[in-house]
Amino acid sequence: MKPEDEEPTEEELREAAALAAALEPGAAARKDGARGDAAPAPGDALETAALLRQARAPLAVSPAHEPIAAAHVAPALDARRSRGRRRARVWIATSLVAPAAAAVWLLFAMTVSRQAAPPAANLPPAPTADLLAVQAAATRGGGQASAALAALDSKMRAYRRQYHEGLRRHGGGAP
Amino acid sequence: MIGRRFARLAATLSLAGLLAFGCSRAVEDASPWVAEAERRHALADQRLEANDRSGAQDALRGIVSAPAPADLPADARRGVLQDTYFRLARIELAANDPFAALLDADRGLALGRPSDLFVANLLVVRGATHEALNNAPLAAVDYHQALLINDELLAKTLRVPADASPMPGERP
Repeated sequence: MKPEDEEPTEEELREAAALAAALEPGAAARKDGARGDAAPAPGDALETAALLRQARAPLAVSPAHEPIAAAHVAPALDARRSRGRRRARVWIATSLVAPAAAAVWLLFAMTVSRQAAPPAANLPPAPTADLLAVQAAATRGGGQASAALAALDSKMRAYRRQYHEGLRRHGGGAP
Repeated sequence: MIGRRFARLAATLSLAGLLAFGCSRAVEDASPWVAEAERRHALADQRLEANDRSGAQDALRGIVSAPAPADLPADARRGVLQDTYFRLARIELAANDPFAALLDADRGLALGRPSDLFVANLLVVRGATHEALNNAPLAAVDYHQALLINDELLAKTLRVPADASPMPGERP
């Protein structure tokens, strides 16, 4: 800062006094009255003072105009409020519907895969002609019934192994 | 209000998904039951070779007394159980206990009567049991029904390779 700036000039002092007088005319008049030489504030000081006053003062609406102002502002406020609500609803819906849709898809995919496999898988393997011949022989009964049944039981072993293996491989469904 | 409704829907659907997932795990759990049945049949084979009928029966009884997994396909469960009842009935008949054999054959047939090998086997052993009980008419009925299924199965068995083989005049 330059040294000459520390001390206000005469002109600066006059302008400051004029601005103070414009901002607070009562106080200035009292001071001037005491001194007896009241000078009118210059135009630019009055303008500056008006701007400062405007900036400091809150926006005031007279009681008579309040309903009109409210009527103008209400739709905008409502619109903003409903926009906020709608946005919140969309977020909630998205966060809930996404996992729900995933669950439905999982259920559907598993049901389809389960139903696609079983019809063939649940059938026992086709018996061989040999096994069926032994079974047919056992239906003759008579004196050979016991031996025929023993032969059938023996022949069934291979078929049984095949059947069980298929069941194990298909998690419950036969080959 | 809408959020709450969505939350309820999402919770229900998530539960359904979890349930389906749980069921899929349950199906996989059917394998140990089948493996145990297989093991017990093998044990029964060994016992029979050692002329230990009672041991074989005990091994097989373990299959029919154990609860089958709920998610095991009904046909698979029926097949395993009917085959076991057939063996039990045959062993009991061989041990001169036709009443026990009849009981087990009936238990097996009560599980269902589709035209398959297991049902035909049960009819055969029940026919033999009726025969042992001197009830020829009932034996004839069971043998006849067993033969009808046997005939059907044989037709299917013979049809499969016939369909698969080339027609006369066709190149193999």
